[in-house]
Amino acid sequence: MAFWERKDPRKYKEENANLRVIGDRTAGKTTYMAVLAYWPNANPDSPVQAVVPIGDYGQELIEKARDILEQGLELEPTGLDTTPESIKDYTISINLKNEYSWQKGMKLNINCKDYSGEFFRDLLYKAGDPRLDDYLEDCLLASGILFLIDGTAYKKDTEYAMGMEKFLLGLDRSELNPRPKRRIALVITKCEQPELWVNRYQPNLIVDSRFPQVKQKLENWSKNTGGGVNYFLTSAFGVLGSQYPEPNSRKLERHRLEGTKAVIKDPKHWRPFGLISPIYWLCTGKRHKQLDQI
Amino acid sequence: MIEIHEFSTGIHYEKTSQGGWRSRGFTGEFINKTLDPIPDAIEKAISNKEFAIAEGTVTDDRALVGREVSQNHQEWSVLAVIIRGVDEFGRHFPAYRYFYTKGRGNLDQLVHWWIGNKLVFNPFEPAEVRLYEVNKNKEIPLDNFQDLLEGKSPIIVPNDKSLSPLIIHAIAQKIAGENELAWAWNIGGLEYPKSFHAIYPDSLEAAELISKVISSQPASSGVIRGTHGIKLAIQNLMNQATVKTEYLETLETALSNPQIDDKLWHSYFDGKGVSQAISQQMYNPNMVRLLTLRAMILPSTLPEFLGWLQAPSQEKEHYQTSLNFQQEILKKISKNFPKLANKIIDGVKFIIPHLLDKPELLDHTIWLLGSNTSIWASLYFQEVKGKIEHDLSLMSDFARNKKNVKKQSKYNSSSSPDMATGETNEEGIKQNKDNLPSIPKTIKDKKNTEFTLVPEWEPIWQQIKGFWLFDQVKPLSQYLPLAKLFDQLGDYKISAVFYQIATGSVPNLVFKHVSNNAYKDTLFKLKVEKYVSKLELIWLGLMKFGGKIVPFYFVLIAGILGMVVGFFIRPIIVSENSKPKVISSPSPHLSKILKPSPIVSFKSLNAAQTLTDAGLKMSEAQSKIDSTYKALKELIKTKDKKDTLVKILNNTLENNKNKYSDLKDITLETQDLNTHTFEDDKIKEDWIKAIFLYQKDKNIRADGRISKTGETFQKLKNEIEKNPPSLKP
Repeated sequence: MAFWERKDPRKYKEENANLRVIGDRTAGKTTYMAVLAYWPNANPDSPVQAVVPIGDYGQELIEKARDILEQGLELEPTGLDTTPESIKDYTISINLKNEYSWQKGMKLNINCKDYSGEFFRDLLYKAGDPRLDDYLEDCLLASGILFLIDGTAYKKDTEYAMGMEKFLLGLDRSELNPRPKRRIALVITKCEQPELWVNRYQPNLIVDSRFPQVKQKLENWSKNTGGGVNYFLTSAFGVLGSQYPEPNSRKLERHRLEGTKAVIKDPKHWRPFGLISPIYWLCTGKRHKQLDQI
Repeated sequence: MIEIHEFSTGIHYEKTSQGGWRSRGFTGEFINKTLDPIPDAIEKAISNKEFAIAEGTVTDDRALVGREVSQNHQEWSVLAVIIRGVDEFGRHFPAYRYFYTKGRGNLDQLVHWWIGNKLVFNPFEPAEVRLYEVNKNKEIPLDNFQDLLEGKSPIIVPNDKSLSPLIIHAIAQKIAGENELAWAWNIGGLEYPKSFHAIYPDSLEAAELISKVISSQPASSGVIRGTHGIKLAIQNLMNQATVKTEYLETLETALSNPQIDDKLWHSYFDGKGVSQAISQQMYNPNMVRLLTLRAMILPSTLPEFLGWLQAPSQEKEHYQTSLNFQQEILKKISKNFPKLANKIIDGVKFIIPHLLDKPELLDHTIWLLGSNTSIWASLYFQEVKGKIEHDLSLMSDFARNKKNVKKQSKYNSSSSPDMATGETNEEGIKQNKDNLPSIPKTIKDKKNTEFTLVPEWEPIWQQIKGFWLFDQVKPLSQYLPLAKLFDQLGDYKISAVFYQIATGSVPNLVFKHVSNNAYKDTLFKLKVEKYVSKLELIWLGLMKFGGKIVPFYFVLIAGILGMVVGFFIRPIIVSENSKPKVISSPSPHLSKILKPSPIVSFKSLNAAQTLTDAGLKMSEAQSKIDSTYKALKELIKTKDKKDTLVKILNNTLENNKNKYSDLKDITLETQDLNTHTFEDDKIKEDWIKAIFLYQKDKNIRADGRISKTGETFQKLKNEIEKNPPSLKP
């Protein structure tokens, strides 16, 4: 075939990923999904052209995002479904602009199940539970995992590392042969908190200092299985002001151990941070320099 | 006396300083059960979210949901009491406490009982089975609600005064009649409001919200149950590469439910993003499976599906994705899912005549009905092809007015023995009389004299019947796509009929499949003629001429003359009259995805698979391409060895071409090995494919890679050294 015939008239290159969001209770999993679906297409310089939530469940995410962002409400905790098949699988399509004029744009099609935080708790404290096995098997169907950790819950590093180890062992035990390439994005949430915000462009630094044991488990897993691991910092609410930024969130509770619980402070000046970068990496295996900055 | 059981939402809990409780997370199971396990019917209704209030609508006040449920002849009346719970982070969630009792018709007793004690969720309260003396109440007058009762369900009762749940129950009962009744009282929102007969919202705002949700759904009569299960079944079928029987069962049950009409099905599929997949040009495997499934369940969407498949791209994996999905369903569908199978058969019956309006879908219809693992192809061959042949065999009688086109359903319900034939017709009567003395017609016999493809094909039979009556009928060229379709499917008899109708003759290649005669024959009692070119016509004329009056030598001379003249004028004739073109070749991009021969065994489900299906990991093989290249170089130290190696691998490719769909246009060249590395990705891939197939053929670990120490290297080395004679050019 001649090269001119190979030209693809489509404007987009499609990349797909089948994901699971996992993390402790109040890590911000549902908020992450909802806010991602409600992405503000405000900045014309942004490489993101549009985020399109697909179908009914996509609409539900939008409604949740409105509750959080426009009304400053908190979401209900996500229930623990009896079987992973009954968990809603959200579909979102993200259109990215081309970086250079000769390039094609990109379409990231993801579907993503937002697991209940109790799954992670059960992973830590339960063993031999058939439901856990079902959930782990469901994870095997995924090409990527979004592992969310509340950035202010650094005292839980040991506990999370234990949970992570159990999760990775569980994955390995039921892993198909030959092993498919899997990617795990460790996503630190609630980075509007000042101690995290100042280092928002340095995910490795934050993870090294706050969650060294979790990181160690992931690195070992990557070495042993060839799976991919990358680290990301995100904030669903963002900050207010540029010179002396303060979190655009109102703390409801700051548990010494449990992390931070907050709602948005000023919905009008909502600018989330870092939400799309992990998705891009999970879809393509590459980091997107511009997406890491926004 | 009724026996009241209970259970509650499962949470880990702790006491608060005020003596109340709070949650420390869900357990994923129910707690405080008086019966274990909880009856299936109740559990199913709960997992279908038919007791669920909408997210974020729980308030301080109590809400009730009452519902009758049944499964496998087990019937229950269930009352759910919902209050607002709080977890250790201060987040709110609905906490359910369910009370239930055996049998339908006891819901009002449950309400009476509950009004007396107002029990709500409390994890510290031990669960107990309670007995309640049935209270024969007098009927609740609904005079004040007459205009409401005339509306469509669900009836939304305005919250203008505080009404007892017993009134809402009575309204629901009026509406539900004999059906399992369902109502909700004092709620802010419901997950599936259309599964209720009567709803009493807790506020004006809630009433508006619920009305909005209801009006956003397609209007259909009656209460719709099981929506959540159907949505999940579609979700799991589209998002998983393997098909689980339970999801097909859910769809099969839904297809048997007359309340779930096409409009509702459309809304379910749209709810999963069909229209967005089309408008956003999403071709990811999930969307391909979703649109494939929709085309199965809603046959009228087949043309849109086929149109959508023609992606604005050279990429074609989505065709294979769709076929793989169809194959998965095909494996499960036999016998167990008659409703679903019927929908697919309906699709086949619909899409073929549709070509008359949309001939541009020909290539994709050939793909749909001719691909190895296509579910439509399989059902076409099993169910529809025979019917077309059968109906064609009735055409002669039908054209002569001996037969009416009757709907099958009419026939089935009819007891008249004359249903099948047009008894008003004189000949028909005669025919019947001829048959009467013999054994009465069995059902099967009768069926054989009925048209089977009505009503879908009735207009076709009507339009073409003239061809059975008269010899000189103007061809109907709109039937050419049908002729080509059946030609490509290898159904030459049917194809020949439609060629005859569309062009007045049958192309040579088709004709020779259906007849041993030289030029004419009869198929389905229709005279068909082979297409004769002008040159052949001259020759024929001469033969006739020669045979009768003139000496043979004259014929010979004339014949030679004719051939010479013919040779010169042939280009003119051919260019001026190229019809009928024998077989339309599918458009170039599609021809690649169509299998090489349409005549395949549809019983075997062996797909024309790709190498990836066979286990080739291209990217892994590519990552080791340098060592593979070095190993290859090692194998071909002399020129003739290089030739032999290329021949061995090219032979391997050639032998496998029919097995795999992605080996077209692959030939390895000796100059591929002239430099230090493969020149481009295409060449790299071709070599990897060849090595992979070689390994498969030799039964060694197939990974598309060669290392100098590996088995593949050794095998190739030995084979090159032997340089078998069969590989000589």
